[in-house]
Amino acid sequence: MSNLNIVEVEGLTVILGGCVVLDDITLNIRAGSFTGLIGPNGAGKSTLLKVLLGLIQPVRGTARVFGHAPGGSHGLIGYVPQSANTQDSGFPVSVQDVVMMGRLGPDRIGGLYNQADRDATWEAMEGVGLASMAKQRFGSLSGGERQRALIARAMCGGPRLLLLDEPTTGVDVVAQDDFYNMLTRLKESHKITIALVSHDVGVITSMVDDLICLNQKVFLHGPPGEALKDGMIGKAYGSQTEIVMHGHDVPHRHLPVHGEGDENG
Amino acid sequence: MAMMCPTGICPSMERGTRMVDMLSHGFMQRALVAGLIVGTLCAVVSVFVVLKKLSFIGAGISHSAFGGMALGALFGVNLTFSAMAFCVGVALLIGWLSRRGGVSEDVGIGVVFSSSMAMGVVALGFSGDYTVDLFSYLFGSILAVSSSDVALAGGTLAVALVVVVALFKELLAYCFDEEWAMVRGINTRLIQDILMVLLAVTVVVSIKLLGIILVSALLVIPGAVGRVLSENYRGQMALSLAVAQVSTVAGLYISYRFDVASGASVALVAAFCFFAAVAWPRRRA
Repeated sequence: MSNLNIVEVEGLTVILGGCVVLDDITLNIRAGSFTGLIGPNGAGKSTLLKVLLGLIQPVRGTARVFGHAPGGSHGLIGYVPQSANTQDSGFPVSVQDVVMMGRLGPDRIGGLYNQADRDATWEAMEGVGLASMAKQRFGSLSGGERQRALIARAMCGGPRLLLLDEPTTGVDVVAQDDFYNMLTRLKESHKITIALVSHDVGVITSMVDDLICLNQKVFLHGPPGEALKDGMIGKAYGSQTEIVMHGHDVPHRHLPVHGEGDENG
Repeated sequence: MAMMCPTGICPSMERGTRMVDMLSHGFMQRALVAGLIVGTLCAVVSVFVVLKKLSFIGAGISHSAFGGMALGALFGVNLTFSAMAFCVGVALLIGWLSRRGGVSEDVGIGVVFSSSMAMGVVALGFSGDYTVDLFSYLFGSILAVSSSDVALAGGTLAVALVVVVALFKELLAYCFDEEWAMVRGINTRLIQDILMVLLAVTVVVSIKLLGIILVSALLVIPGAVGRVLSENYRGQMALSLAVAQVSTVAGLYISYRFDVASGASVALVAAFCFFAAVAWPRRRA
């Protein structure tokens, strides 16, 4: 991991439907890091990703990705959208068809897929452990398998930055563990940078190099051990949650401060 | 057994019940060739209409053709070309409305569709001395297809096939996950416009045979049958082509044999295929 920033956001403000979603935020993502983006619902996490992807325009401030304005680095960014956003389960495409879509890009409109595309597709499917399901209909996969297929699609284009938007929503706890281990493996083997939006505060803080906690503004930004000090999570979440530290460097559960035994794990 | 044409349009014509008798007439040969071309065109476009859930847009564009034709009648322009220009304009307008937001897509289509029809009625009212066989345009007629219509349909099919083959993977990615396609740098706005224009030209070249009201049947049903019966888009495309051709040939024969509007008979055969497909026992993975 280097100190070179591949994402630089400065004074960014986004207003959607008359509401301020992001308010003058400044942050960066280091090359080779695994960065977690956390925050309560409506905090602007997904909006930030969409700004970085060029899908949403800010009203103020700048965002640079690989030194370019958002939308100018298509081939360098792999994107994994929220599972719920990706089509109905009856869409007639196989896992292989979906993964191969990762080879598309603005520089190669038209024509057919070639052998290099097929090889890259196969390698990407093997990387996420889905090669044996290549011919299976995408919609027949479980939630966790679908997310892995979408990661393979993102990896198929050879990205240097992987952006994931709540990839573990609807995935069971065991599958989540496998999922995060797979991400860590991909990060090491492909030397990529990963930024991941998640609600799993406990899990994510134990996995990432850097943690960013958003709630319209940036509440935390730094290594999780440092960032979780001083009760900033509680402030970001509106004093509803707190991180419980197990031993040293193992931040885990977030608990409702005023709850009566209803732990979230 | 032979029968006389009950419409009175062709009083001296005797109709045999066999297919070979049907094909002995020049107008039926033209109708059949046009039907096979239009069926292929509709089948290909239908796959994307179903994948991208554009059924209502297809109906909106086809109904707006009435406005285009009526304006052509008012200004003395060739009806096919006036409908083509009007439908392409309407298709692009619907695409723009759906991207712009502010109103939901179905509301935008509903407004464009009804105002186009209204414009058509007003234009027909002003072109008082113009006599149009409205029934034929609304529901299709095997007698209405001319050699130039066949040539236009053939040319349109050739261009459409080139476009679809060249952009197939982009079209599929757009239908599967539009936002993601945009992130990959695919010009989804251009892809959407291309799809809308394909829809518009398919509607216009199909109108003579299928009618303004019923052309949407072949824009939806073949692809829908393929979707119901197939696990992948290749099978969906193959089944869509098969259903469109069977519906067209059988529908034209029924139209000839029983002297009913060709659009209605084709649509009914297609609808039968759809319900048979839905009822067909199948196993999903």
